[in-house]
Amino acid sequence: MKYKSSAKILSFFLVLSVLFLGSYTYFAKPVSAAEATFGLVRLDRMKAAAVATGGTVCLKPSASDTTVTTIAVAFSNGNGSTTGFTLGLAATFAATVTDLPYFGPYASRVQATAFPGINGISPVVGGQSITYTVASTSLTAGTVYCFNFGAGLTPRTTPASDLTGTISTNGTPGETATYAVTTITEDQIAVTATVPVIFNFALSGTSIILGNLSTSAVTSGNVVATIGTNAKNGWVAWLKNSTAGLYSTLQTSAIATTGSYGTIYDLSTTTGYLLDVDATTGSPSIDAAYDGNTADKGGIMQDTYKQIAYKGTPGAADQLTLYLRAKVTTIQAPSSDYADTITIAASGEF
Amino acid sequence: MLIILLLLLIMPFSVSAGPSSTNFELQNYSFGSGGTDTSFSSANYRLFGTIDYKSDSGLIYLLQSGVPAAPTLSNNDSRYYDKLHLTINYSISYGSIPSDILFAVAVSTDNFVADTKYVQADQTLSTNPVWQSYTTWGGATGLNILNLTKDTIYYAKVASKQGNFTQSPFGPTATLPTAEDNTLSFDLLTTTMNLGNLIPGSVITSPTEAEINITTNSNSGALVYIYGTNAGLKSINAGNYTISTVSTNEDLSGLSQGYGLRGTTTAQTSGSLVIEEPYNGSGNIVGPIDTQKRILFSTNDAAIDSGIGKFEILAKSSLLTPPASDYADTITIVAAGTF
Repeated sequence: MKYKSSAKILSFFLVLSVLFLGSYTYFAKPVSAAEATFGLVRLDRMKAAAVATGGTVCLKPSASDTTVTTIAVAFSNGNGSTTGFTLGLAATFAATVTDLPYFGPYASRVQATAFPGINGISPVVGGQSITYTVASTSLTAGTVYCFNFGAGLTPRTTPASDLTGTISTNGTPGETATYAVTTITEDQIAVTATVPVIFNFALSGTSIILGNLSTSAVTSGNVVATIGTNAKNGWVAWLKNSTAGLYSTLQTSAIATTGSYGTIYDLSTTTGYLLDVDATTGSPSIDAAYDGNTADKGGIMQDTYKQIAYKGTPGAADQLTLYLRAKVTTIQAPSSDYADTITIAASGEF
Repeated sequence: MLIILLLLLIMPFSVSAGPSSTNFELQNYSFGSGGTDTSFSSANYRLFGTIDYKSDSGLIYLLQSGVPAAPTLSNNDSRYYDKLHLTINYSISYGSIPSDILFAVAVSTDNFVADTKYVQADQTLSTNPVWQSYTTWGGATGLNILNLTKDTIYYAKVASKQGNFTQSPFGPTATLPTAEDNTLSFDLLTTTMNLGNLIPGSVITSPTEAEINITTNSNSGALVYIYGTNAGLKSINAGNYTISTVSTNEDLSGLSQGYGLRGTTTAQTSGSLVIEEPYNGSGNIVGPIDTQKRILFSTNDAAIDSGIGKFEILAKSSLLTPPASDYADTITIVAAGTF
């Protein structure tokens, strides 16, 4: 009797098991593609100009999948003639994975992961779709996978919005995203600008007062010339003085160095009136006729413009220091009106 | 033989909604794992059964939770293509809704003829009802039902319960379609920008702003990218000299020369258009315009209607910048929706 009761109970459980398994099989969902968390197609050019463009495809799977071997992208055919896209040869769509987009807030933006195994692969083109086949690979839920496709996609000539397409992977269950893109009249801005020619020139002062000249020491005074130019070949500076030089009208006498233009003289061993030019800023080249290079040396000025310095490149604020140096003999006629006028010129070589 | 007989006897109850009377319906029943005594003969055999049931018309209604009104559905002016917004409509006269009143939301694409699913805690649909409080379902704000199919009419209804044996029937049905398709429209309204003379040492701003328009129903929003051709302003006449773009968000005031872009204003009918870093600086702070596609505007991960974004170009030359009247760059603007 107990055996019969036990058998009934066991049979009852067995029936329940059969019912459970049967109903589970009956109500199990058929395998179908899952909707991706998101998909994105970014065209390199959106201009409806019949010029082939490449782009970038991204897919963020909603579920992990270890059996993916293809990813297909379908592009809109638009109205079939003037809107939508025309697909080129398969090789033009060859995939790359460089410069993939970033996602997320700027401070924590993360670059997308390259779609595994797709780099260098050319797809099969069929109708409006391109399908890349890769070695079986795994996609992880929540990771954004991207790749670039080459310039095989030609937007047709009439701009259109809401050109929808799909991105889909195979596998189990596979992922699908529907996307939309737009073609527009113009997607570029031509930026133009002019950089004007610039030449700035300034003197730190317009007078040099040498004061009492000595027969034993060299007296100097200076003025600084500042030159700024964007002339691609730089600048040149010239200088001339009056015909009479450092001259006293009252005494009808000039202070002059015996010698000739182009030679450097040393006032520590001779007397006279000289110009020494030093490169202060910007490393301009000093003409040999005035490159005294010490506190007592200099060259003889002329009453016609002679080059004192040049620079072969642009300079924002190049500086020359112009030293006038004088030393007199004991027989130099005394007077307080010894004077000269120096004229300095410069120009850019554009 | 005994098994087949039992199977035939039980099958009708299992396949149908369950045993019922005029007041009750057993919706689901199952048995636990049974006793643990493995001896052939025992006085400790036991079987634990669980039953879900609902009451129907009759006096038992005294124990029934109130039947929720039809929920409110929204597709955000036909922008939602893969989701719908649902708000449970329920109230009690004496105060706020207690947290022990639980609700389940049923959703169907055929008005519950052959397709019935239930909103899950993660807002997706599945086959078993999930009971949650009014607050957990989003309260008066509601929630989005996710992963729906575009261009599909959905029906939704709500049931409630408060403790055991009190489940109400599902209330009246609300219905609304999802949007027909994904949409993205974009336009660039400015195609030339002349900065004029770049006076050395001065930051020059383009006299006009460039403008883009964008509309999308993309649930994850859209991104507007910019990239340049020359990574700066290049002059062929000046021997391909380039006034290089900044490398990150930098203030042109402190640089001898440079070139960059700054977002200025945004507006929208609905949604939110955002100027993204590094283009959201003020004054003379600009972001780079190089050959890398960089995000200028985003829609803040949501759909947007009639978004307008404006930006300007800034540049600065120095005394060392070779003079020329042909400094130029070509900026490309593209948009992409994250559907």
